[in-house]
Amino acid sequence: MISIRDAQFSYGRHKVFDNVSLQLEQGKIYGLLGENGVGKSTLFKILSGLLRLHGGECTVCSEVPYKRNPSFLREIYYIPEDFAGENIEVGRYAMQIGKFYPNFSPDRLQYILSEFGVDPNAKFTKLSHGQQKKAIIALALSLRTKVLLMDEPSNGLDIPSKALLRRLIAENASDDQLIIISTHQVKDLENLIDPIIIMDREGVLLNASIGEIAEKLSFSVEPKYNDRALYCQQDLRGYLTVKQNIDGDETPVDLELLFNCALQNKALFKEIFNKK
Amino acid sequence: MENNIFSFDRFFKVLKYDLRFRVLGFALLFIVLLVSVHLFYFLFYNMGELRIVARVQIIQFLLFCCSFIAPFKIYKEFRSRHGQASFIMLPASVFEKFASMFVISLMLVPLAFLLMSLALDYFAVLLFGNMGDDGFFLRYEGFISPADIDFSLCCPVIFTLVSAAIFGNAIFKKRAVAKTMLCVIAMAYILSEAVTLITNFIFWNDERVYTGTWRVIHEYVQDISEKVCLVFSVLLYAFAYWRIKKMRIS
Repeated sequence: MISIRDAQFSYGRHKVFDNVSLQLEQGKIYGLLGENGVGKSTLFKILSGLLRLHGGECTVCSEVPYKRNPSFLREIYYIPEDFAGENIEVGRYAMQIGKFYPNFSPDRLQYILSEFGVDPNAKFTKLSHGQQKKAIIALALSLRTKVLLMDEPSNGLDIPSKALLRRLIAENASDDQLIIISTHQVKDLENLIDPIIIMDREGVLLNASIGEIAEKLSFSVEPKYNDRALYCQQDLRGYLTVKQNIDGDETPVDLELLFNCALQNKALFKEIFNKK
Repeated sequence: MENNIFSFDRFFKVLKYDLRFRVLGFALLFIVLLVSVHLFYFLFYNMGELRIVARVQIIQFLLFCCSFIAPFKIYKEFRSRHGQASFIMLPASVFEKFASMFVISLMLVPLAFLLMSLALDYFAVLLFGNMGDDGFFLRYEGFISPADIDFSLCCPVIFTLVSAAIFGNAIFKKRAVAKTMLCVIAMAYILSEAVTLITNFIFWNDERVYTGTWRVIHEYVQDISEKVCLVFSVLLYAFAYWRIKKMRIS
């Protein structure tokens, strides 16, 4: 559904992507992780047609995003990190936007808004940042587009809302929908995102499912520092350790550890998870 | 295969979406200005008569102002990153979005203001109409008719002003109204100098200059100016369309 080949992009002299390739399939909720400035938001903007690649190819639902054809635009919705609502009622705005999307469900919108506790008759500008976020997430989920891009959706949400967000995304994601969630707060979205994509300044370090990661890496808490581990981090419980899974016993994947481990072992990760 | 260039269904959806900013309410602001002008006359021009010519000129002036400012107000999203993204991501073609902008800015807003101002004037005349010597309020000369309004002047002026406003709104991020006005004034000066130079060149050795047939030259200058203005406005619309089509968000 999304195909990126040898993508190149830069802001002036600052290179963001250089020969980045990625294949993403429908029916999955991808977690996109990466340090600040590696290009996560830029990737979203390229996928949604807001920016054009300087080299390489990018297709979403068999269309070139930058052409901005209406047939493409109604199949994708992008929630930016810094969303700012207009001076209009949430419900009225949603109903007007919804007319452009063939799969829009007003009932689902009402349901998700009520779950989030957002009044559809309130204007965006009268809502707090967190409530505006909830409102736009409700709209995005109710549009039921084939591709949904969410940039840091849990930023600004209170703790109960983060759990609610996970539940609502899981409930409302369909089998033919591709969702990509970019986040720094991996704990907020653990057990929801699968597969995981980790980007760094040189490209894609990892694009694998939780199952594949668990097959190849093991995550454990050890009493002492293990200098033969791929990654070891001290914690109140002991030493959080990531090792290559030699025994074949699958352990729960800790996304935060995985991310830190990937940044420290870039070459190894590319080798372990390289798919031809 | 789907038509990704223009569809009436999508166009009307975009039009309705753009009208969410309460276009009538915007035009109403200028009606308030118009009422203020009438109140000014009422307070400081007591026992006088408001002639049709004066009232028409006031309406025309405010019509021009309303038409110029409307695109900046209704499409202020162009001047913010998030607004641009929302505009781009709306599932309609650039042509449909631009057509909606064109219809609202060039037709709906001026028409709404004109109709409301004429209606206001009509009721003002009904209430405070010329009562002869017994009139103790402000007196109105009579009802304004459509023939009193110089549409041959209004239409080209509005066409040009709206083209500049749409282009300025697409180009400038901050102080867009002021910058656009300055550009309009500068271009008007440059174009008038250009027309003067061309006219001087054409009529340099023309006997009509020495026989004093200024009317011919005046008509020629007016004709050239209108054509230049029209071409310039069309170019501005084209540049604005191109700018909107190639818009990128960083």
